Order: sequence, then C-alpha cells, then structure tokens
Amino acid sequence: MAAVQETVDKVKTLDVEAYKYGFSTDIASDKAPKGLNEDIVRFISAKKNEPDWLTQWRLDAFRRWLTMVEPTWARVHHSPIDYQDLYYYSAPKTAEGPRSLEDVDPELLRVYEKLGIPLREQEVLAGVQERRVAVDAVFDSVSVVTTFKEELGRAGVIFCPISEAVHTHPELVKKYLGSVVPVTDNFFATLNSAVFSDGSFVYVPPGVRCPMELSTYFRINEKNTGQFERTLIIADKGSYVSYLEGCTAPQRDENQLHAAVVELIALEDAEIKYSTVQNWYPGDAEGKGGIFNFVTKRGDCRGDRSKISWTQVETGSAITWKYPSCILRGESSRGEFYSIAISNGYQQVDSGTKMLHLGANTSSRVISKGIAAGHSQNTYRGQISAHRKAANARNFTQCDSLLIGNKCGAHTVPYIEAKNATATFEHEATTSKISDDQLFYVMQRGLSAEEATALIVNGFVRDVLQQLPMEFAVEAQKLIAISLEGSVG
Amino acid sequence: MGAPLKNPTQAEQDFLREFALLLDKAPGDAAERQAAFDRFARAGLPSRRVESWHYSDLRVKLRQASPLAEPPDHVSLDYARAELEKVAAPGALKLVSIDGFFAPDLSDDFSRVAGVEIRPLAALSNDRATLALQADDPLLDLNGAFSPGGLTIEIAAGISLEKPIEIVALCGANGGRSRFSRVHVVLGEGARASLIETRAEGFGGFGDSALLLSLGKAAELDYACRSRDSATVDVQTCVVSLEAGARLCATALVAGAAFLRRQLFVTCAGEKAELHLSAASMLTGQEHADITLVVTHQAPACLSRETFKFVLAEQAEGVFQGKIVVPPQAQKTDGKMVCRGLLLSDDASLQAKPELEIFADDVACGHGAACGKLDANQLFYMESRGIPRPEAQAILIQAFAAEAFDILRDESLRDLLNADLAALLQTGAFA
Repeated sequence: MAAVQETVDKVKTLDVEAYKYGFSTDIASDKAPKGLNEDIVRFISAKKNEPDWLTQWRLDAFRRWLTMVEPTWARVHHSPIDYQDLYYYSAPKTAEGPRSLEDVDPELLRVYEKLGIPLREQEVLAGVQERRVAVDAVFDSVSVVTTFKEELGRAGVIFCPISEAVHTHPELVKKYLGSVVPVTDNFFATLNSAVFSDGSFVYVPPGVRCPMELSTYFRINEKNTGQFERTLIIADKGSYVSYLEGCTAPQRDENQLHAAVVELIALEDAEIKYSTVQNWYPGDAEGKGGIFNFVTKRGDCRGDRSKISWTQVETGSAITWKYPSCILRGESSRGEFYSIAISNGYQQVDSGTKMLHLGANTSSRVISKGIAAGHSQNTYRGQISAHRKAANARNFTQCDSLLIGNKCGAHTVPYIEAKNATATFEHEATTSKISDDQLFYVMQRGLSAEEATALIVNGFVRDVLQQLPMEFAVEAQKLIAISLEGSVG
Repeated sequence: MGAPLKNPTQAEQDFLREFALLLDKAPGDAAERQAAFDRFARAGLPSRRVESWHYSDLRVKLRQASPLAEPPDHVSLDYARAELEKVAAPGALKLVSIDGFFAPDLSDDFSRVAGVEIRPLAALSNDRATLALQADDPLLDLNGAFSPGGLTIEIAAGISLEKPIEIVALCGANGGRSRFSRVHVVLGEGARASLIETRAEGFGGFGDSALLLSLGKAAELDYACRSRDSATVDVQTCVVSLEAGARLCATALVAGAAFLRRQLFVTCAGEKAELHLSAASMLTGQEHADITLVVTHQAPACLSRETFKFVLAEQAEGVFQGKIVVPPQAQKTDGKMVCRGLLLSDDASLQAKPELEIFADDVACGHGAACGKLDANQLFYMESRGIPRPEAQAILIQAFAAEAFDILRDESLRDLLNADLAALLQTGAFA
C-alpha cells in the first residue's frame, strides 16, 4: 500500500501558497544599483568602511569569479541565473547603527514578532530564564542588533556582525577569514567572497564554555536581493559553542539567490555544534519562484580531539545545494552530520556532506533522512575519504529515504574513498515507502491510518531531531508538520 | 567524416587515422560503423571530468593507440593453441578468438550441438545495434566502429544445455595491438545455459571488448567471467537485457589488471526478471580495476542483487561505481547492492560510489559499502590453533572473495572460479 490516499491528497492540497511565513515588510532600504562589477564590489566595501586589505580580498575574489563557470553536476534544474540582474547590497535604512532596541525600526520588530523570535531581552529573560538565547538578527544583509552582548562579553565570547569584527578584531578576521573555504573554492563561494554583505562572527576564547546558545535568524526580505551571508566561528582551545541558524523568508514570485559561506574552526579540544532550520520560500504549487540556496558550509577540526557537529532540518527553498563538511585534520578529531531534508511540491534538494579524514584516529558519523513528496527530487550526495595518514579512521554513514507518492524521486550518491588500510568505512542506504507491516502493526493498536503515518514518520527522523538543541527541536517539529501536513497529523 | 574530435589526443588521432583506413575493408554496414565512430568522436576518450569515468582517466592512461590487430597468421595460431591448453576450462564447449578474430580451427564444432547456432556476424545486425545503444558509452561506440564482425551465439527456445559454453579470448604472437571483439549471446524463451568467458590477452596494447546478452522470457543464464593478467589497457563492456521472468547470475574473477575497466549495463525489460551480479577483484602491485555497473529496472517487480568484492594489496587501486535506476513505472522493485573492500596494505586504495536513483515509491532498495583490513581477532584465532599466518590470511581472503561466486547456480562454474582463486592465493601475491 502506498502512503494513504488521504495523505497524498492532503500533501497535494497543502499548497505551498499556504506558506506560513509568506509576508513581506516595507522598510525603506539602501540599495546598490543592480548588477555586478568591480565598482559594486568597491561600493559594498566602502559602505562598510572596510580596510584596504579586505577590499583587495574581495576584488581578488571577484576577478577569480569572472573566470569560473557555474557548476552543473548537482541533480537540480533551474532557469539560468542572470547575475547582472540582481542587487548585491541592501541594508535597512538607519542613519546610524541602533544603540538600543527602542531605536530599531518598529516595523522590523513586528516582523520578528510574527516569526516568534524572542528578540527582546525582557521577553527572553521572562520566558526562558534557564536557557537564554542570544540573537544576532540578520535582516536582509546587515545585522541590526545584537543582544546579550554584555553577558557574552563577561565570558570573553565575541559575538557580533562580521562587518563589526573587521574593525574591532581585525587580527582574528584576517587570520581566519577564507582559511576553511578559500576564495578559490567554488563558483558560489567565490561570488560570496566578492560581495558578502554581512553575517555573524563568533570567537570563543580558550577554555570557555559559551554560556548560552548563539542564534541568528536569517530573513530574505528585499525583492531581488541575493543574500550573501558570511559566518565565521572560531572555537579556541578547549572551548565549546552551540550556534543556531534559523531561516524564514517572505513569499516572492521571482527566484532569489542565496549563496552563503559558513566557516567553522575548532582548535584543540574545542567543540562546535552548528544547527540549522531552513524554511525559505519553496515556490508555488507550479514550482515557480522560491529561493535558490547555494551554500558552502565547512568546518575545520584543526586541533587534536576537536569536534564539529552539523545538524540541519531542510524544509524550504526551491533549490537546495548544500554540503556541510568537516575537514578532520587534528588527531582524534570527530565530525558529525545529522540531516533531515523534506521536499514537497517542485522542490529540489541536493544535499549531503563531506568528511575528509586527514589525521590519525579521526572518526565521523553521517545520518541523513530524506523525505520526498509531491513532484520533488531529493538527493543525498556525500563523500567520505581517508587520507594516507589517517590511520584508524572510522566512518559510519546511514542515509535513508522515504518516498510519499510516485511522482517524486529519491537518490543517493555516496563517494567512499579509502586510501588507508586501517580505515574502516561503513555505508548503508535504504529507500522505501512506509512499510505495510509497520502501518498494520500500529493501526491494529487502534490508531487511524493518518496517525499511524505520523507516528512512523516521526520515528523515521527521530535520530536527527534528537540532535537538535531544545529551542530548535520544537521549531523543527513544527516545520516538519507544516511541510508534510497530513502525514504527520 | 562526421563529428570532428575536439583537441584530439595522440590516441584519438590514431583512432581517427586507423578508422579511415579500416572503413573501406571492414565487413558490414559502413554507415553504422561511421555512426558509431561519430558518437565516439563527439564524446572523445573519457577523462576524469566525465563523472562516470572519474576514477579511470582513459584520456591520460591511453597516450597513444596501438595499431589495429590483424587476423591471426600461423605463428599466432600456434602460439594461441599453446595458450589455450593452459587457460581453457575443462569440459566446456569452446569458442576461441585471437586478437578479437574468431578462430574456428581452435574452437569446438557446434554443428552437432542441438539447439545452438553460431553465426559469425559480418554486419552489426539491427538488434545488436539496438541493444548496444541502450548503453551510452564512448568505448562501446568505439568497439562498434572497429569490431571485426564478431559472433552471435543463439540458443533456441526451450533448450537446456548440458555443457557450458566457453568464450576464450586469446592474444596472438604479436603483442601490443589494439583489439576489438564483440559477441552477442541470445537465449530464446525458456532456454537455459552456462557461459564462461575466459580473457587471457595479457600482452600490452589496448583491448575493447563487448559482450551482449539477450535473455528471452523465462530464460536462465549462469555467466562466469575469468579476467586474467591483462597487462594492458583493457575495457570490457557487457550489455544485458532481461525479458519477463528471465534470470541472470553473472559473476567475475578479476585476477590481475594493469588498467581494467569492466562496465555492465543491465536492463530489466520484463516483469519479474531476476538479476544476480557479483565480482571478486584481486589486485596487487600497481594494478587498477574499475567495476562500473548501471542496473535499470524498466519493468515492475524485478529483483536485483549485487555483491562486489575487492582484495587490494601493495599499491593496487579498486574502483566500484554501481547505480540502480528505478523509473516511476517500476513499482515493487527489490534492489540491493553491496560493495566490500579488503585493504591489505597502507598504499592500497578503494573508491566506491554505490548510487541509487529512484522515481517509484513502492520499492525496497538499499546499498551498502564497507572497507577495512583483515580482522586481527580472526587471524589470532587461527594462529593460536597452529595455522601459520600466511595460510590463515589466505583462508580469510578466500572466504571473503569466494562469497561473490555463491550466486552461481551451476556448480561446475563455481568450482572453476574457486579453483582459480585458490591457485591465485597460492602464488603468495596476497600473503
């Protein structure tokens, strides 16, 4: 039996038009002219009063980008992107950086309220006293306000927009920017290096356990604005940080380009946990519109015994092209990747991870759950490789796909490259629908077909949901419910 | 001339030149050859930029093309006769080719075997061309352009062959040539047969062979390939089509391969076809073997099982690329693919890419890949019971690799491959 007819119908009627966060806000914004050339790159750089070395860095990237071609290997199809028909800079208009929340455009605060972001310190303090969240809100491209700065400051943690870090901590930015994802890395990362607008910068000093979860909400708001985030997180020796990234975007008819770069650096004994919930506009029922999401995320376990863990819940975007990776350079370092990718409508997801084992005794774990419904295509693409020096490297990979309806596709493209005899790699993948036995078992205990499906889907993704921090687990569950309403009740 | 080659390499230019010389004298339909060559020319020799050839860069490996092999003379015939003694499987009906040319003098007489017809094929008949076209691959096209005729082995409907048929591909006395061969095996409805393919062409040069298998309704074929010591750049292509209810059990023992690409393109065209594929690749030195397969489940309710083993010593490199494709109509597909690698040295490497491409929802498909070294506990267990280490290692390797042959129904074929494997392990190359 295929997924209950009821479910299939429900998923069908669950028009993505019903996109919950599909609203747009009118806030006067400061734009660079359309198109991309050296002047625009200089304009962006000048807007941010960047030092000369960074302007040059951007220009180098831009010149390199001109020589590159867009990659075509991913299993995604889209109309060609006209890179000259986009705005590369847009900042909410404020004469000066806001000093307090009262200075922030009230319209902006209302948007966050709609999204349910506990931006106001008081609210956060009143609501979730135990687990406080620091929010570096990115509205389009410029970080507007950073809360909890003081408390973080007491712990010595630097958490600020990267444009600010360039001025306040130039030595750190200069040392680490582009050291994980080099300027020359790939088409989209190079484009990002040339025109990146803003993003978060986190530095956790040696031995510090970051006192709270750090969080950034991304939101693409301005029409036709490609958003080019640049996030840089450095965990110094023996430190720990957990970073949450949540994304919602208002509904748009034209495709919006998003090419972010995230760099993580973990030094000796440090641990970084990076969690994402992505729910950008996926396009309408015919597959028109929606966000193009071409993201380069990479973590570098530079020190011995360091650990980087990626967790992602991907429910939005028309196209997702995203491979959070770990370079396991330090001895006994560890990389983890937990992913739920849900695609519906005409969404196309090509996502996965790379675990590059360079150091001895490195280990990694990959758990990927793909759920495809509607006309969507869901691809897992992953690479596990062990370098010659990676003695006793260990990897376990499991990627499972669930298909709901017969118009969607689920694909698995793993690359396993072992250049070391002591490396032990295990890879497992399955593709199936919800099994009749499971449904029967649950239903004979009195649950309706619908409830039974819900229970099984929840169980299917449980491994990954468990990895999410509390704040996110709730939101993720909500998102899964929205994305697959009908099957999860 | 049709499509021009872009920035041709020396080898591509050689092929172009040889093809111009060949076209006038080659048997069969010149237009079809030309079409095949044009398709090749459009693609060129595959490089690592071509995804399906990523790990076997033929453009780099094949610097220049050796001259085309000539039909065998007396010297070659005598040489091949002596070789045949050494390699042929006992008790099989033999069909021998030398440098890709059918050698009736060395082959058994099939005229008295009921239900089997052997036709030397001058032309690329339509059905062969159609079957070959299911696989879109430049080396298969190159084979189509250069292949000197070839053979069709037809087993009539309802016939059950007692003895296996063995295709023996030998090398002539002059090594270092470019060899092309093409054999088409057709099984009629309900026919049953066993097929052995023994490739012993170790002599340098370049080999590009194609084996086409068409299994009619409910036909059953056991197929064992023995690929031995090919000291050459070798491409073996196998294109298979299964009608409803047909069953193919195909395995291979790859023992020694300077640079081997063995590619299988299988289409389950009829409902409830059953496919068992496997191979054991035993590589040492600087050998390189690339096993690539694409299994397309065109019809519903087909079953496929793939088990691929690699034993890699010294600097050997094993490559496995497997892809199961399930289009929307192929509901109830049951597919399972496994790749296992045993790395015996720190310099050996294995690249595995088991892919699933699934467009139907009511399927059960899975794949697994694993690699590692010999289990120290198992070795210790045996050593503590008095088995010397090299012997213990050989036992474990034999057990590991021989699992690939378990899929064969025909015991004589299984025994043959097991004996080959045991002989190989005795040489101590994997101790």
